Amino acid sequence: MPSHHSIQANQQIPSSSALYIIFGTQVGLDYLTFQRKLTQAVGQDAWIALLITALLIHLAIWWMFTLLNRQQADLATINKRLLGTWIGALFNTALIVYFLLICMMSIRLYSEIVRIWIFPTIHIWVLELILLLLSYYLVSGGLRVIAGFFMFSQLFIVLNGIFYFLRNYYHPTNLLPIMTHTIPEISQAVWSIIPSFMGVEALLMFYPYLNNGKKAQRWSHGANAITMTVYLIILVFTLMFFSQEQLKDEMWPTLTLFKFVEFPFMERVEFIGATFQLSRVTPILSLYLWSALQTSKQQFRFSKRRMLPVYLVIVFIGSLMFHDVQQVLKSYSIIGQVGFVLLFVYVPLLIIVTRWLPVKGKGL
Amino acid sequence: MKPFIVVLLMVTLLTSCIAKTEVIEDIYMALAMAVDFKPTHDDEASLDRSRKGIDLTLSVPLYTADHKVESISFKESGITLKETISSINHKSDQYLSISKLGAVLFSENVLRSGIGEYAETLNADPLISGRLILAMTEGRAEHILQGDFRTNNQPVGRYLCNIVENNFKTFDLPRMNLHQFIYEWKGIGMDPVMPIIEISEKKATLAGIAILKDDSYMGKLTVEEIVPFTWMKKNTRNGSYVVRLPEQNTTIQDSTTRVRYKYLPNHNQFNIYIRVEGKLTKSDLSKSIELSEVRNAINKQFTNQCETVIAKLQKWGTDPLGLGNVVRSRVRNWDERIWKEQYPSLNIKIIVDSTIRR
Repeated sequence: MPSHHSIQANQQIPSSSALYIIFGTQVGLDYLTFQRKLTQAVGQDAWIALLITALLIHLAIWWMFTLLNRQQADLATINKRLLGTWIGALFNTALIVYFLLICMMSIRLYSEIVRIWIFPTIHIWVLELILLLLSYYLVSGGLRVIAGFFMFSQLFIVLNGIFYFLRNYYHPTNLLPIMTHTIPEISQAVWSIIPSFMGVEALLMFYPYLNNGKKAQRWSHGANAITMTVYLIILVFTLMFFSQEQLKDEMWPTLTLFKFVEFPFMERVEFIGATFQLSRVTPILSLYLWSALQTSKQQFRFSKRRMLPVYLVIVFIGSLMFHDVQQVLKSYSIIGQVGFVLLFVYVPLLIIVTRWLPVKGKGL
Repeated sequence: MKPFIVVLLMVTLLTSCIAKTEVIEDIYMALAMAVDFKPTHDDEASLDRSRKGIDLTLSVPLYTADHKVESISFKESGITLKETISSINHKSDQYLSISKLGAVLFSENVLRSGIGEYAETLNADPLISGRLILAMTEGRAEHILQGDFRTNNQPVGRYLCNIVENNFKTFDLPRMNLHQFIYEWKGIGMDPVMPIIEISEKKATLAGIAILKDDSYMGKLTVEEIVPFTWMKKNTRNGSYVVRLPEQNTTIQDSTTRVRYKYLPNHNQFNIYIRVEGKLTKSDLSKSIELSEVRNAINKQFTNQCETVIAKLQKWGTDPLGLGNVVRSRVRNWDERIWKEQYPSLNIKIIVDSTIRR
């Protein structure tokens, strides 16, 4: 089936870029906080919940590609095709709101991290403004620029090697005994960690831009596997470093680990750890902004260039509405669970619908 | 292109406008802090904690033009730690920052009444290092900061840190810092410890280890008891140990120790196996000593010392060795409450096995 809107070759991104785009959006800022939620639910068995969640996401990736390969279009177009103009518009508006909410939360979360860890006296809005200007630059460059930035930003993985220097502080017995928690407890932990794996849903929007959509599936599964590995490594280090009760009160476990590393030439390694997140939050912000723009373009034929400033203002004002970090983190996991519904309820429904019902847009 | 250049310039150039700068010459950086109760309340142990109020002393280095370092101290009274730290700035001509703090000293009375809330306050501040050393002193803690040490041109705060650090390194002691305190205080089946610092002959010295139950002081281990305590808690390297033989004393050097635990729930017994490997110090006298004699002497002497320490710990009902945590990691459905009831009557057996070379 030919693509509903053909993408010119000079706008396409290689299918391998799914690897770092999906990995980048998945890990996100959750990388700094995800351990706490897990430990609160299942203590030292956290890694089991992590593995189960990763498997679930592999499943989601598989059926996302089933849908996308069959339809050869992005989710906004599929909505419009299957649900008609009005209901389709309703769903796509919800999708735009979803993307913009993620933008608001990630930008606010990053600004709060800078305020808490580096400059306690900074004004949140100034930092947000600078970040939004930066993402304005990225988004107006198009998806290829965003993808390029994603590739560059994954350098942060190297930074994790630093945890080796804490080897004297690790207590391997913290990981024992294995499997002392019940199935309901573990499934509750899975539910709480799902938001940390969200980010794959952006694929539903940028799929048509991949130069070979079918090939990208392998890369996407690879991305999810890397996400799982990175999370697993950090989680094991965190569990060995903190006692469980201590970890339950620790808001930023990863940054505290960074704080503990000390070099003769570098006293505050957590400054590097925190500032590195800038290169990670900017492409995520840009990708979700771009997804919102793409949705509004497909549904309402709004020009991307005209809508970009509007969305930036919405994100700017919206992100300043949160009271504090706690509220941001709480809404972040709620929106993640909305993403879960999108991937595990809505997409399978669409697959069933496209399988058994004649498709309206066929032959376009 | 033009708007992009403007945006890029704004992003790069304006970032410095939004953060408060702290120029190093224009601030005081406190390196050590002492927490005492107000002298009038010091002896009234019964008084409600919240009404007691604390005396806080901060030691700040002053670098003079002739490369000399002086330490000056700032003192302030208040109720909570946070409030007192911020109100201490009323007395200061420059901004007083505590983000470089290296050591916090508590007087015995403060430690006895529990320091959980102070540790929590310090730990919650992201600018304070987790390697911050917490220590106890038997008199008033402020006297240590105001002490007149021959410190080799170091600020008092750094000097105190170095004293503790040197002891850790030389004797391979278990780590005792803010992170470790929180780890053991909040962790189940563990209790924290901290070094005791005293002044003797114009020097600060390590005078023992304070044993805490949860976050409050129970009693101390003397300097001689530090080595048995350490060897029961962790594997060590490069240690040394004095053995008393009937005719003379001799020293074991370059010792390496390994510790293993075994819990026998049916007998309510906990075995601690310690393997010691070391070298006999070379001297004319030691040539005549039989190695097996030294080995037996070590095993006996060390077992006795360990048993004294264990008896103390069991009497106080504290578990700084983390035996509870060992059991937690091996037994399913471990219950901390039941363990705590069992602990004082637990039959802890020390088994020492030593290998001595010449």
